[in-house]
Amino acid sequence: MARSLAEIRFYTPKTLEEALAIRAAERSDAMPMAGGTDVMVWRRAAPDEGPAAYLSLWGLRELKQITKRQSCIEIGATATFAQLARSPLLRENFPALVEAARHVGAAQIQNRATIGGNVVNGSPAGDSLPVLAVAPAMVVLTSKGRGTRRVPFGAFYTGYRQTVLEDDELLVSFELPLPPPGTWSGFEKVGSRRAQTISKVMAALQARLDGDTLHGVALAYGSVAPTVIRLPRTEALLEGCSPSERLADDVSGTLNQEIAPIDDLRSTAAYRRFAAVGLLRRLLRRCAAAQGRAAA
Amino acid sequence: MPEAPVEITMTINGVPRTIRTPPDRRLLDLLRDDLGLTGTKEGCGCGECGACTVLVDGALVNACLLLAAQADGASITTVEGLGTPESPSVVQAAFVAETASQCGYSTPGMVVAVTKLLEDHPEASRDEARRHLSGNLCRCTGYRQILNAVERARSGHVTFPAGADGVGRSAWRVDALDKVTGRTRYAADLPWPEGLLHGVTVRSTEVHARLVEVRTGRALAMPGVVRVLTSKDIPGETHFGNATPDQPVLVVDHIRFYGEAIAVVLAESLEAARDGAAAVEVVTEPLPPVTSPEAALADGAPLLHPDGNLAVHHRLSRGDARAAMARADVVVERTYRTPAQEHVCLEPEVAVAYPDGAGGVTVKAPSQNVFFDRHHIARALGLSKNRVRMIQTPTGAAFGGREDVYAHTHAALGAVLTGRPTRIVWTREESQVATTKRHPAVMQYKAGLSSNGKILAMEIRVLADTGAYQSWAPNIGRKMLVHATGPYDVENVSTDIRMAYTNNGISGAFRGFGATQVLFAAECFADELATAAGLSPVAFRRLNHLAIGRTTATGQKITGSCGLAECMDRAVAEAERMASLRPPPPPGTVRGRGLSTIYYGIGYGNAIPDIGSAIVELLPEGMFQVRCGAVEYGQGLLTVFTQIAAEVLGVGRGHIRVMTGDSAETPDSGSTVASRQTYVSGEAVRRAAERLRTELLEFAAQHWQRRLDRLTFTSDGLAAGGDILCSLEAFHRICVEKGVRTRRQARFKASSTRLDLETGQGNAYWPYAFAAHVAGVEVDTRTGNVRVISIVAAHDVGKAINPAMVEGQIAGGAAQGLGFALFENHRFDNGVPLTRNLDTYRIPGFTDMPDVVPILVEEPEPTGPFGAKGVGEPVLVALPPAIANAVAAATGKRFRELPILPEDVRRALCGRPGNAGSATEEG
Ligand SMILES: Cc1cc2nc3c(=O)[nH]c(=O)nc-3n(C[C@H](O)[C@H](O)[C@H](O)COP(=O)(O)OP(=O)(O)OC[C@H]3O[C@@H](n4cnc5c(N)ncnc54)[C@H](O)[C@@H]3O)c2cc1C
Ligand code: FES
Ligand code: FES
Repeated sequence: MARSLAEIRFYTPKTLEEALAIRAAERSDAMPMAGGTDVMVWRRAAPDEGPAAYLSLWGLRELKQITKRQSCIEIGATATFAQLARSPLLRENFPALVEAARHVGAAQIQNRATIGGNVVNGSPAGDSLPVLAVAPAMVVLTSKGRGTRRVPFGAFYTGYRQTVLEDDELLVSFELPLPPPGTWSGFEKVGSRRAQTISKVMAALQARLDGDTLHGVALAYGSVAPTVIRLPRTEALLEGCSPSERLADDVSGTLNQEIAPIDDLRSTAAYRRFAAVGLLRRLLRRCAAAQGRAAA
Repeated sequence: MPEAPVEITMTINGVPRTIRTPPDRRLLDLLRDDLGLTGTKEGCGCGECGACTVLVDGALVNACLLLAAQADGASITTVEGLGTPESPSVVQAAFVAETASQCGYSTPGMVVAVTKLLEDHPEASRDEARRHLSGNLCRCTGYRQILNAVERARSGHVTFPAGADGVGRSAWRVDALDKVTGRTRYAADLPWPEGLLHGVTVRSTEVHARLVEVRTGRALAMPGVVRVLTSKDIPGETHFGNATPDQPVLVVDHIRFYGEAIAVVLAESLEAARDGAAAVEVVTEPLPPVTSPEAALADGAPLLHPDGNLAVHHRLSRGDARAAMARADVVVERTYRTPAQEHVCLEPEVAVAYPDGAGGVTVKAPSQNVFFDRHHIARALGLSKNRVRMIQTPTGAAFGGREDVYAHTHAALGAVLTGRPTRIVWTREESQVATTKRHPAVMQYKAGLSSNGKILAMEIRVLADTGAYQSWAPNIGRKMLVHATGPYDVENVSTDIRMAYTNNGISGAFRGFGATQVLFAAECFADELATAAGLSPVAFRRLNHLAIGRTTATGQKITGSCGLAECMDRAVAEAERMASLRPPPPPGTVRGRGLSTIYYGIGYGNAIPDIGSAIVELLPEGMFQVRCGAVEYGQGLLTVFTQIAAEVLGVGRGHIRVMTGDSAETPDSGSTVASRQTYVSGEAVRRAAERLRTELLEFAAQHWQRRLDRLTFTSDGLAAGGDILCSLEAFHRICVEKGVRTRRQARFKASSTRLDLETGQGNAYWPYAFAAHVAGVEVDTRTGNVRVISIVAAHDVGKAINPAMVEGQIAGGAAQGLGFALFENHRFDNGVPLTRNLDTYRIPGFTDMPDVVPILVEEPEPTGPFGAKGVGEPVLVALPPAIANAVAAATGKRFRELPILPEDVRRALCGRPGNAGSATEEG
């Protein structure tokens, strides 16, 4: 039977401590809500299946900061994509994340959509995911009873929209290790319209440029598998090579073995395979251009 | 037990307020329903359209995705906080001056976004502005005039051109100031009367089924639920339809599409009605779905209607196509396909019905024809027409999508049966699944050419999907029949149009009305024929085009106002000039240009009485009032009528008042469809104004003993030469004293003859509008992505009464054509609709649209007001084939099915996608 909307409870804690206490008490009965750009869409699609309560995280100032620590940049879970897009710290250290942030929806969405929501929602089309995968980020989770734990981004997802987040935990921040000097990172996406569009495929690449060769290559794709994925075998092939579009074609066979896209409303598997190579080509071309500039 | 509301404080438009609200109320609902700030609109409810855009602590936010409780402590600015009609902001004034608002539904959100853009990025280029504004969709304008408004506002001062009100001037729209300030009240914005009931529709979740029973007991037992309407409650006719009454007002026993209305729950609040709707139990027995017209016409197909699944069959034959085909030097055969397209009027369906206390009802709702709506409502209610009053509310666009009644009848039924006002507002999802779509069509074309490229014969077979009901199918089929050859003089033609019932939603009227599909096929085919004949697209068309003295497929001789050749020459020349200025394409892309030329019959055609009727009256307060039953839905009719009346009467716009779309107060002037109202009703207005002026001045000449040719009306009063004889108020008084009538009515009838049922011959329409488009595309050979980089649109409009509004129609129609060509496709999976909101059904946004370059060709139509014809539909019709032809020119590949998706382009360009074979690509 439908749950009357009027019966829904709504919590607006002012501190993280308060929020964690509510989370511990309500467990899965209260759904955390940051910007609400996903939650509000689900609520509309299936008003009967929504939770009994919402736990708003929007008011928690302590989760909104982007801070430089000794060896990492810490990004609060409720930092919005608009905040990320404007952040000088990120522009300097993780330009790929700035690019991804600018690709999330339009201004209205970027002003509300948070990086934590993007990650917990866990859509394989979440734009920030490939970048967090290549950084690689550490996901910081906290609960009232068990305190804080750090989960490597690569271990955060356990399946399609499945995460290790427990029902008494909140995602509080991401720690992105400061990249060594000479690191280049970039993000690319193919969508169904030129702006304001969910991705058909997207990719992030991070690598250190030593002379004109790539080292410590990290490559991740979204929308080509049930979760965002790293491509270890393709990364290994790129290691030590000099970036070029041709290089993308050279590794495309392996790349295509590592991804498993499907047909859906937004695109076809065949097209996604093709576009995946195209994205790598663009990334490597941009990387080569950056390297050329650095050398000059 | 409902939770106690929470208390929140907000500063709204500068005023601090403390509000108690349920904790899960959306900011949008709080603003609109609780605070009466109805300027902020709901278009999609899911963050896609931007109609709900407000500023929260200075940041652009979708109010539909924000809970009010989450905005506790925030400062909110809505469109009402930016300016008023009396004192508009610079951005608002710029929107007025640039005609940047049409139906106006997207406008408030757009104004808020532009205001913020200019604050943050005052120097933004047009392309940067496109990106910044990409969270706001507009279905009417094609964005060009909005970007003009951005540029105008940037300059800081905006003045309205004074005195530029007459015919041929770009007078600013009479309804614009209200629209840009959020003052205009659409039906969902009307104040809630005492005792209001909210209606929520229970819809079929099956594609095809027998309806066994609707169990309402549980719903009726729920708190707040007052009544559940089912087909058993319908006092009058249970079925309705534009062409034939084949559609149930509420399902009686046979469910024919997913989303079909089965019951309506009426309750004290929207929430209670929703809960009640979820508690209605629908008992069904499934039937096998029929999901394509081919399957519908196959032997043994399940029948959707007793008379079989073939809903429409029209034929045309001229000359002897078979014999001529046999004589031809070259024969070409091709098949084209077009998808279901949704109108996406930004205002979803809505109706508010008010009982009159005596068993009758007044319905306020968006509309394309208040008299049709009244007819359908009265029939279902079993009332005589004069017991039902239908008043059109400002309408958030129509495009043919409001030619069918939906919520109107349900709301009226609720009001009459409960005696309480009843309001039904559909969601975008309901609009998407339950309103008509453009008929999907498969079109087989065959032509025989002489060795020099003259078309000797054409054979055309069309099979279209009309979905569960006919709506306007026979008329749409006829429009297909008349336009199928394209604008060519072909002596031997055989055309066969069939439309079949299926369980794929409903198809109906949509801007272009059948011509869109066949002219897409015909104009792609023209390019393919040109290639076969070894001619350029221009030379081939020049050889075969209609012109004065030539004859259409229905045997109609074109006798005047034919600007086809001029449209083509000017569009091609302008496109060439623009291309020569463009830097070379970026690596990895190829470019091409494509031409299309079309003709389009204005008005109903086929001898259907096509009558415009208008009343013009001098009122006691010294104003002239124009009354006409036509409706404004964004195209600018109120302004056109104002300009025509101002021109004829010689007064300024301040002295003209226009009333439209009220079945009780305005004369029936037919539907606002078929691009006919400027032509038909505009002419009626002109005649009524002319008659009133002449007769009143004749009286004045006698009364004041002046020469008639010296007398005029002016804004200052009745004038003789330079002297003012008296004010208009005084003149009215004198007329009344002397028993002179101050009101005149005039009618105008468009001429067409009935097509012969066997041969399809006859003077199908009059007049015809002509157009030529040249589209330029850039195709990314790697992603297959097609970007339209230029659109030159030349239209023979007879006479542009208001050039800025005509240009707005052109850019807006072009956007819909671009969407149809490249991504719009309402998809089904075995009859279940997949594209149910704007996140999956994509319409063109700012970044998809280049600046359309309009060229107005004025080949006066002697029977139209000041020579005007119509332009509303031809624009949409002309662009899709131009884009397809451009893609063919760029890639060397011909795409015969719309939309042309990157996936398809990519596949065609590289054979098997995704394999490493693409390594050979250069660039
Ligand atoms: C019109 C539109 C366009 C969009 N375009 C894009 C796009 O281009 N790219 C893209 O990637 N996404 C897009 N999105 C999706 C969406 O904006 C993102 O996923 C967004 O980042 C979600 O963040 P949020 O704060 O709004 O999440 P919410 O909706 O608040 O929450 C999402 C989920 O995360 C959980 N959650 C949120 N924060 C926490 C936390 N700190 N701890 C534990 N759980 C938490 C919630 O319980 C919920 O399950 C779009 C959405 C809309 C409506
Ligand atoms: S109504 Fe909010 S974005 Fe469409
Ligand atoms: S004016 Fe923009 S939607 Fe109608």
